[in-house]
Amino acid sequence: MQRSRASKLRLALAVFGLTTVFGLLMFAYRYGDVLARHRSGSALERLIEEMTGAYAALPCLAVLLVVVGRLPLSRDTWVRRLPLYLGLILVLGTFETMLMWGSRSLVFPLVGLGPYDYGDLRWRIPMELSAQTIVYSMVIGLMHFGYYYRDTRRARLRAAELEAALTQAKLESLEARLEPHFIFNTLNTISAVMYEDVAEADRLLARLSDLLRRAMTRESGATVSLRDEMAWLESYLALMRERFGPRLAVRVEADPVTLDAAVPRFVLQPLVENAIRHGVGSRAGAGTVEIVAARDRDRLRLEVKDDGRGPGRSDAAGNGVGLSGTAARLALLYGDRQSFRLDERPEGGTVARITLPWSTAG
Amino acid sequence: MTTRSVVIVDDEPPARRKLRAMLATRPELEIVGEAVDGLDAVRVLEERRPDLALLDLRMPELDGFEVLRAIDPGQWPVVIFVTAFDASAVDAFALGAVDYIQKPVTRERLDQALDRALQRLGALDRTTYREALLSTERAQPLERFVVRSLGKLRVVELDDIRWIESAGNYVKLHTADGVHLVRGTLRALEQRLDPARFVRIHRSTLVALGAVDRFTPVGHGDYAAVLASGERLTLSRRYRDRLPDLTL
Repeated sequence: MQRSRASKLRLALAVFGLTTVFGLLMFAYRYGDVLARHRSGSALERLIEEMTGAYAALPCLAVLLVVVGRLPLSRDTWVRRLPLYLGLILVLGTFETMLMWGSRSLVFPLVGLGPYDYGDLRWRIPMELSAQTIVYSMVIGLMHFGYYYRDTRRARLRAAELEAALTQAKLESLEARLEPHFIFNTLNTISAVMYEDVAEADRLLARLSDLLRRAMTRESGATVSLRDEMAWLESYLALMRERFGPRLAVRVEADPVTLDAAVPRFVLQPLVENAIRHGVGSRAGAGTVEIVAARDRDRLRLEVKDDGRGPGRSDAAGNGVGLSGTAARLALLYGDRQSFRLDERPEGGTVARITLPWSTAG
Repeated sequence: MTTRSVVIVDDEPPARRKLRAMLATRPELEIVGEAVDGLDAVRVLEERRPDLALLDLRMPELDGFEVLRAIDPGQWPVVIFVTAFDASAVDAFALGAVDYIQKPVTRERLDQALDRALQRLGALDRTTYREALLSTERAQPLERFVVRSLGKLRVVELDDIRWIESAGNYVKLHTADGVHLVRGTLRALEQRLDPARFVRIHRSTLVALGAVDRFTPVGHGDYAAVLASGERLTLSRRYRDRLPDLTL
């Protein structure tokens, strides 16, 4: 997790403050015992002992925090990792005891308490270890809980984000796919054809209904088979061909194996619409739109090419909502495992290229 | 009964067929031409000089407003715009006496618009109509110019323009492939261009900031704009303050 400098500083201060409070409470506990029993004892001596004890635990807890983060104990791993944790408790406990001994030996003479007597280290270390095993075990448990809590919260957050983005993409694609211009121009076309060829007008109305139905249906799942996607595109292209006549030529080159591949719903339509707009819509004379689907080992490659004027020459009516929506959606669905580029072709026109990790629609 | 001439402009064949069929029932109207995109429309309208034009708004090459812009307002026909869905443009229509019909086109609405247009043609006061159309046109964003070179029509995109020079009632567009003369004044043009892209540097010069390589002093506190193409333009002191972001 990335933290800013300021928040790192705040965290360090909080840890230091908590440790200090802990040390002071322990001092009150230990020295309270002395007072309660009316025993004689130096308060300063107790204070130094408890504070060094508290601070000496810090580096050990830091090591535990890192280890629990990297090699957590889980149902599958605890047998394998238990020896590591036991060894770690042994090493860290001994280290903590040595740290307490070292720091007190240094501080005691400095404040005029003379040399520090920690007793026989051969007994001191195992004696401290018994208490440390209890404390460390509790801390390790707490850390597991903390990480678990953080991870679930992140996962939940991510799921919510993904869902929101999907809904947004659905809305956006609905807008891009069946923008009002498309619908009204198509209706105008059908109303013209009606006077000339009733059967053809009937077919076109059915095509438009297909599109509207799918656009308005709330379907579950973010992906469909390329076959379904192509079927929907066919309806869309049939209407576009009727509107633009011989000015629009469409070539589809889909490797049969790719038809079962899973693709994000509505992934191709904004690209095709963009290609028609730039390749045909903004240019007099004929234009060709080429749709390619191919498998490159473990990746699916989708391309939509036009021979128009390229991405820098968008006409006034163009908006990038569809394409930026596509990019955002791909990033959410596939993370770094996808790519989406829009390039000018050397021979003129534009090629939009999407690559996705290969998977089949089930 | 006087016969009036009509030109149909739409990039989609079925849309043209439909208008043609509907106009066939009105014997007082004669279709004298059809155009399939914006540039074609400019050619046909100038050649045929029709009384009326049914003009699609969204078309390849030039939109309906850009078609009008390319033609001398004195030659403008009475225009009926045909739109699929242009909310912002419809706002502009509301200001003036300009008529529009929406797709799918219905016979009733088309007849109504045609009747109104014929009425306008019969009236003496065409100046008022022209002013209304002109103000509607001026409300549209300026994105490209139509120029004529050797009798041919061409589109010049704003991106292709390095600088614009005033020349009386005309302006000269300086581009990589030559100078093009367009009707209009520099002052009117300046108001319709993005000030972040085109900057006035002289009484008679607008420069495209993207084309400027550097500004160099030429003495007496005067500067010159040196374009990436090598051309040098005078930056007069009066307009220097308009370049706040440039360290001179």
